[in-house]
Amino acid sequence: MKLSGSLSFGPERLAVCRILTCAMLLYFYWMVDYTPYCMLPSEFWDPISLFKYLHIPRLSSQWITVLQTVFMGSLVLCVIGVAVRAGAILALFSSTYLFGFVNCFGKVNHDATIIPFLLLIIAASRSSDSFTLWPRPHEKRGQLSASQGDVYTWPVVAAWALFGLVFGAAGIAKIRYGGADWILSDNMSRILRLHYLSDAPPTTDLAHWIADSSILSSALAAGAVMVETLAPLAVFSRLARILVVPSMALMLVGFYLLLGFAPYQYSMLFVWFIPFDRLFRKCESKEVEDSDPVEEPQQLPAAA
Amino acid sequence: MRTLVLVGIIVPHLYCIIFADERWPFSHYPMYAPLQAEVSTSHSITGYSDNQTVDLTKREFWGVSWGTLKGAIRSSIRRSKQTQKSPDSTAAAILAEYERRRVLGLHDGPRIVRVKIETRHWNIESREALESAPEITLHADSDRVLTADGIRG
Repeated sequence: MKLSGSLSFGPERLAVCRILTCAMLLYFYWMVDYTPYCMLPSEFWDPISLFKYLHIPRLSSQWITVLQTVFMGSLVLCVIGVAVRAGAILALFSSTYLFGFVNCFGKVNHDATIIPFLLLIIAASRSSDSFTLWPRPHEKRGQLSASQGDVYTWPVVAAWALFGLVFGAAGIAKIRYGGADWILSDNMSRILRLHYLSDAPPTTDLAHWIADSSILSSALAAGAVMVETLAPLAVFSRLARILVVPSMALMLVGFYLLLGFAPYQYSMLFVWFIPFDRLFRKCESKEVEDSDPVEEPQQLPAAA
Repeated sequence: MRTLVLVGIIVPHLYCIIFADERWPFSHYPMYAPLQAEVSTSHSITGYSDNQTVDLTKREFWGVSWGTLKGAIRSSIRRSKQTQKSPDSTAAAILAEYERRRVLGLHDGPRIVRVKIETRHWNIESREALESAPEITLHADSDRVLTADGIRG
C-alpha cells in the first residue's frame, strides 16, 4: 500500500514527531490517576465491546498503578530514544487498557481514541533512526534499499489518515444525524448555551453573545461542518493541508473559548503536519552560509 | 508491516463511519451530532443525613469527576430499565458506596441514610430561560429499595 504518493520525508521528521507525541502524552497524563475508577460500585461497570468480547478483566487499583507506571516509563523511553520500539509497544498496550478501562463506566469519551493509533504508528515504524540515545546498528540511515524509500514517509501519512478519519467522521456524523438543521436551526445556539450548565463553564460571555445571534450561530455551525468534512483531503492535497489543518487547529482553540474545554489530545495530530525536515534543512543551509569564511584579500609580502 | 498498520487503522474506522457503530478505540465520532433539544435534562444526586443534605456530585466523595459519575449513573439506570430492575437500586448502590468510602476514611463527608437521584430539565432556548430554575422530577430513591428489602422503614 502506498499512500504517500510523491512525498518523501527523512528520519528526522519522524523522530521529532515521535518525541513530541510522547512528550505531549507525558505532559497530559503525568498527574492523571485512574485508581479511583477501581472503587466505583460494580453496578456502574458497563464494559465496552473491546473488554466484553476479549474478556478483559476489571483490574484492582494495584494493577492500575502498575499499568500507569509502565505507561509513563515507556513514554520516557520513547522520548529519550532508548529501546523505542519496545517502549512504544508497552505504551500501546498499557494505554489501550487504561483508556479503555475508564470508558467502561457508561460514558465513552473520544478524546483519547487517537492515542493507541499514534503509538502503533511509532512502534511499527523506524522512528528511532534519528534523535536517539541508543541507535540500533541495523537501523542506521543510509542502509535502505530503493523499495524501502518511504519507510520514513508512510508513518507520517498514516497519522494524516488518522486525522482525516477522525475529523471527517465527526463532520459526516453531523450531516447524518442533523442534516441541514444542524446548521440552519437553533442547534448551535443551544449547544453553546448548554455548556454554561457544565462543571467547567466557559469563562467568558462570548458563547452567549454568539448564541443570541442566529446568523453567527449558523455561520459557526457551517464553518465547523465544512472544516471537519474536508479534513480527509489533507491526506491527498497540499492545498488542503495548508487550509484545513490550521483551520482545524483554530477550531479546537474556539472549542476552548466557547465551550470551556478542548479535546487537547487531538493537538498531537497537528504535530505530524509540521514540516520539521524543511525547517532542519533551512537551519542547516543558514549555518553553512554563516560559517562560510569570507575570502580576505591576500596580503602581499612586505617589500624588502 | 506498514500495510497491516494502515489497513488496521483505516478499515475498522471506515466500518464504524459507514455503519454508525462505536467499537472503541474505533468510532464514528458522533459528538454533538444529534440535534440539541430545547430542553436539556441532567441528573443530580443528593444525600440525606438526619439533619442535612449533601451534594454528592463533588469529586472529593468519589475521586472521579461528576461528568464520569453522571455517565455511569445514566448508564446504570438505562441498564436497570432493560433488565426491568427499578432505578432505585442505582440510588441504593450509590448510598452503599458512599458509606463504604466514608467508613474507610476515603472522604470526610457526613453519614447519610438516603440518596435521591433527580432529573433536572433546563430550558436552553434563551439566556433568560437558562438562568431560571430547572424543573425537577424524582428519578430514583434509595429508601424505596431499602424499605422494600425490609432494611429500613
